[in-house]
Amino acid sequence: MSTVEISGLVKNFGAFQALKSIDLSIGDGEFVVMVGPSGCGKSTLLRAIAGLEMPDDGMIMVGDRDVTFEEPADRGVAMVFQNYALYPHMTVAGNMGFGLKMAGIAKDAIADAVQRASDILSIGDHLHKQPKALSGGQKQRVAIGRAITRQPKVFLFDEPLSNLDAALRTRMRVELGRLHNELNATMIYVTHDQTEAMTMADRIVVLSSGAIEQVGSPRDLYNRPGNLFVAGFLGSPKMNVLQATLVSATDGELTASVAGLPDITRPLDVTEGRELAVGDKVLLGIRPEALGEGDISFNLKARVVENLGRETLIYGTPENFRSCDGDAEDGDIVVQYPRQYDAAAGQTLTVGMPLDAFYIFDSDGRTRSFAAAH
Amino acid sequence: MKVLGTACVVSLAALAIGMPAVAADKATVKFWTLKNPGMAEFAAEAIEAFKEKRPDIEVVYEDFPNEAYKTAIQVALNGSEPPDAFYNWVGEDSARLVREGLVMDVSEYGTEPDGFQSILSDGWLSTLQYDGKQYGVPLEAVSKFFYYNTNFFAEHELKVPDSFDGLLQSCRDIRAIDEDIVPMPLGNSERWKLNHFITMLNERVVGHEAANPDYALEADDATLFTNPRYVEALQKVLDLQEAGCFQDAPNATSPELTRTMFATEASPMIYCGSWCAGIFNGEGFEDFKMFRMPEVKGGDGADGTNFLIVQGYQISAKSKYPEETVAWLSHLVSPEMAVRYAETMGRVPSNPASLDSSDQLTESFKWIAKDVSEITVPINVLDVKLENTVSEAYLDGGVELLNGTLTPEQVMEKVRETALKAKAKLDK
Amino acid sequence: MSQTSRPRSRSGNLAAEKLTYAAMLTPALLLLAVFVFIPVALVIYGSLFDFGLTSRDWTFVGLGNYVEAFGDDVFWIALRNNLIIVIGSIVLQVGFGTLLAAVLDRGVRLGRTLMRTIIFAPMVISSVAVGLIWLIILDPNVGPLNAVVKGVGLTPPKLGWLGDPSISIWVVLGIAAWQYTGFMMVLILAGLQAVPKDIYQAAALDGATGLRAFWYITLPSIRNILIVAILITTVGGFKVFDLIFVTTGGGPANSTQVLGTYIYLQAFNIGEMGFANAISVVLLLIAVGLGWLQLKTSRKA
Repeated sequence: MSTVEISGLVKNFGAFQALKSIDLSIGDGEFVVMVGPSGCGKSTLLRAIAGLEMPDDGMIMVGDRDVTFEEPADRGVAMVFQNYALYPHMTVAGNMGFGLKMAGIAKDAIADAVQRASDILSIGDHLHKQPKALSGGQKQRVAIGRAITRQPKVFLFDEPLSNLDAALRTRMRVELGRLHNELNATMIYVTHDQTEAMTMADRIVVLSSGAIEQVGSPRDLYNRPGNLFVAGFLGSPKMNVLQATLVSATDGELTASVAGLPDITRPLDVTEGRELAVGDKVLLGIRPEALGEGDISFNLKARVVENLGRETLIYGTPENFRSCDGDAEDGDIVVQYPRQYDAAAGQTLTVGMPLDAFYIFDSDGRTRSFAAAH
Repeated sequence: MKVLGTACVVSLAALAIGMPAVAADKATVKFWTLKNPGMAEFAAEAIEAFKEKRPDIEVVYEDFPNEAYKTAIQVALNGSEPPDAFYNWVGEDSARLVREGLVMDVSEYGTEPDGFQSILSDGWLSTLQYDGKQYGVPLEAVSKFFYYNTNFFAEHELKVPDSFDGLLQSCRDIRAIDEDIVPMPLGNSERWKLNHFITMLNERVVGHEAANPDYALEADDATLFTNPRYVEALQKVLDLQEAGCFQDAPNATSPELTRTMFATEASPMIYCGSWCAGIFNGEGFEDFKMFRMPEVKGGDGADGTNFLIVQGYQISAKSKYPEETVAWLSHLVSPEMAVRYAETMGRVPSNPASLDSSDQLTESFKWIAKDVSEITVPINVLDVKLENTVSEAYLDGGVELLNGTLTPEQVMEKVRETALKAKAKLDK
Repeated sequence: MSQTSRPRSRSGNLAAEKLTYAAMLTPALLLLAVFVFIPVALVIYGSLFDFGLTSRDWTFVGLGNYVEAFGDDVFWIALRNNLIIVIGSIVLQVGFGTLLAAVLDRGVRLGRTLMRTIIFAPMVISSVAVGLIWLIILDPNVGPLNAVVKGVGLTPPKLGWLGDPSISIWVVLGIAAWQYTGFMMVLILAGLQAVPKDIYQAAALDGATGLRAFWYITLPSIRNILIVAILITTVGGFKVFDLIFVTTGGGPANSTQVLGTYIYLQAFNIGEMGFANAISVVLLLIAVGLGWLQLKTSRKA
């Protein structure tokens, strides 16, 4: 078990900057999930840690060892791939023991290690089989088993569950959590699925365009996103965003005016960042689940009603204001009721809105006021 | 190309065999020959002229490349509708077909005034006679000479050799002028080039009277190819090699390349067929003269003999129109056609009567025609004359001799061994 | 078309089915009979006689032609040369083809398609043309190879590349390799490109890179393609004819003779059709043996 320390890591593909000076510390035994949209650099960062991509600058330490220029096999890391990447010509046991065989470990010791790993994952019955005889879930277990067999200091997962069906994904998610507890290993996990990120991570690293946007615990990131990107990326459906103008910025308070709504006043939670002045354009954010009941109410013409059983999502056009950005269509907002709600498309609903549930972002996208907890 | 050619020809032959006769009231003479430059034009002209003479006969012309022809004709002769008249090499090739009863005895045909038996000399006719019967119509002959570059010889005051030793001396003299000049390139990649040398060296050293019983496999087992003079003749090849006559790798050099070397004046001499004169002229080189394989001092051969391969037409035993076929062949050797043959093909025809009247023939051609007419005894080339396996042994023996992998004695031992086997088989 | 689930008419249908199968197989069997079985039977029959292409009489000699063949030096030279070409071609064509494919698959980034096309190009030229091209290149008098060899201060073989019996078969082997390595490369490259790249990454993490990855990952992944490649090469090595016919004609003095050219020589130049048939039967038996071997290995794989 080991820490991972990344400092100033840069990776370019030609003119494209895939990683722009990444600094990241991962603690011993921590489960870190890296999320971000496609092309944000999360996989590149993982592959750089694995040694599959050579960084152009910066340093990677595993434990107290500088592994920046080490061969992948010498870094003490093991990786589980999205497509399993099992060796098709070897048996399950052969796949799992291959790394140890390459390291020159004696056959008996390999067999023991394979046995141990297969017990952990309950794939003992399949050891003699070829990968092509296994189901997708079994293959992924073997791939994980292959990583376990090598007893690495750090486990790397590259979207390991994305090829599985929804039910299996949920089961494997739980199992990976169990595995993490059992092995107490350092794990770095890349995904684009926020459910995986929110449920499994000790800490989430949000990346965008090759840079880290924010690092923190799942709840922290969700409740106190550092900027508009993180606020928008975590949470589904996305946060509703409205354009506003500052009408007052004094005594640790911000007041913003939105066409069609009363002025919104929130405490200035973050003082760093650009100087705020009256007349500045700002953005207001409010999560779909914060709407429904509250201080004021507005009329919403429902366009789409999604009844998900446990909750209901209503996409619609507000009567007297417009949103910008968001999952709904231009100008539309989305409301999430944590229950079943009888409504039909075309209907006009009255929706409550708590005025303290707004986040305020400055024109750089930095969060200046957080929503009150509800 | 040869392989593909063979495949095509075999299937062509199959087609030809299956073809129905063209017209019922007209006699159709199917005529097969080699595809040589000029042949198709000459044949077209001859057929046109023949139509006026014999409107009742239709001649169907087909030609084939050399290698392909050898296979195609054998297949066709065994088929149900072989060509009526077909080209053949006179020697073992023609004799075998006679033995196997595939060709017709035409002694009774062509005896009228314009028939071939009246036109051609007895010497020429005899080349296709077996047991006193006529088995075909000789068309032409090719001979073989040393060609030399007259400019080069004059410039360096070289003497035209009149003996084999003189020939060796010429090679040494030329090497002395410039070590990098190949005096007399030998393109033996197809094996027959050296075989032609050996044919004439055997004639000069062993003599045809002594050699013929061996060649015909008629000598006693005890003496078959044991004449020590065969070894001497092969030694002469090594003498030529030692005198620096040839280039380093004759077995890997093609005949075409050596002809080009002579025609481009890179080499001042070459041993080449009578047909080469036309090739050299065609490449724009005319400053050459020729001489025969000179005599070998102390050899048993007769003077006045020279290399001569006769080529002619034979008539298939299955032909339905022997009279018409012979009339066509007689037309081909008529004085008018013979001179046209010489003019278009540059080859020596079997009927030389009116060659002098032509103003289209080159000086070198006229020299060759005259020289051929003066040959006292025609010497047929070994690979045509010998039984096939013995011929192979001589061809391969020549290659190994040049490569230095066999001595003359070892080559003759192999030839004798093969000849004994072939003779035993023949006697059975 | 099968309605076997209807029990009442089952036996009748079965008979009808058999009839249908037979009817569908007949054209193929008929063609095979005309173009394969009957000629093979004729060759086997002919091998028991002494006759030439134009012979009127066939003399029955029993197994005499076979006895003659096994006692014939040239037959053994030809068989040995076939084996040299088979083994040499497997090493050169499949071996180099695999290496080139591996290099193109992983090493070369720029102009990969161009390189592949260039290396593959000789394959689309007919063997006869290839032979003629190499005759020019190898010509001892005017060939560029001699010029190059002399240019770097070495001495080319005195008897010529194709004229020296001690090297000529190896030179022919080289020409064959030049012609077919590209084909093998393309075949194997197709196999390599079907190997998922993340397997190599997994292997790198397991400690197998470079040669070890090639040995443990690449080769096993393309095992079936390699078997096919070796089989194609082996069959081609026994069947070889045109290339040798054009370049050396079996010479100098039989030193590059192979069974194919020797059959041709015996049949058409010497006129020993029965003997040629006997050698053909030997070649046929070798081919059948190889076919059986192939079936066996492919079923195992």
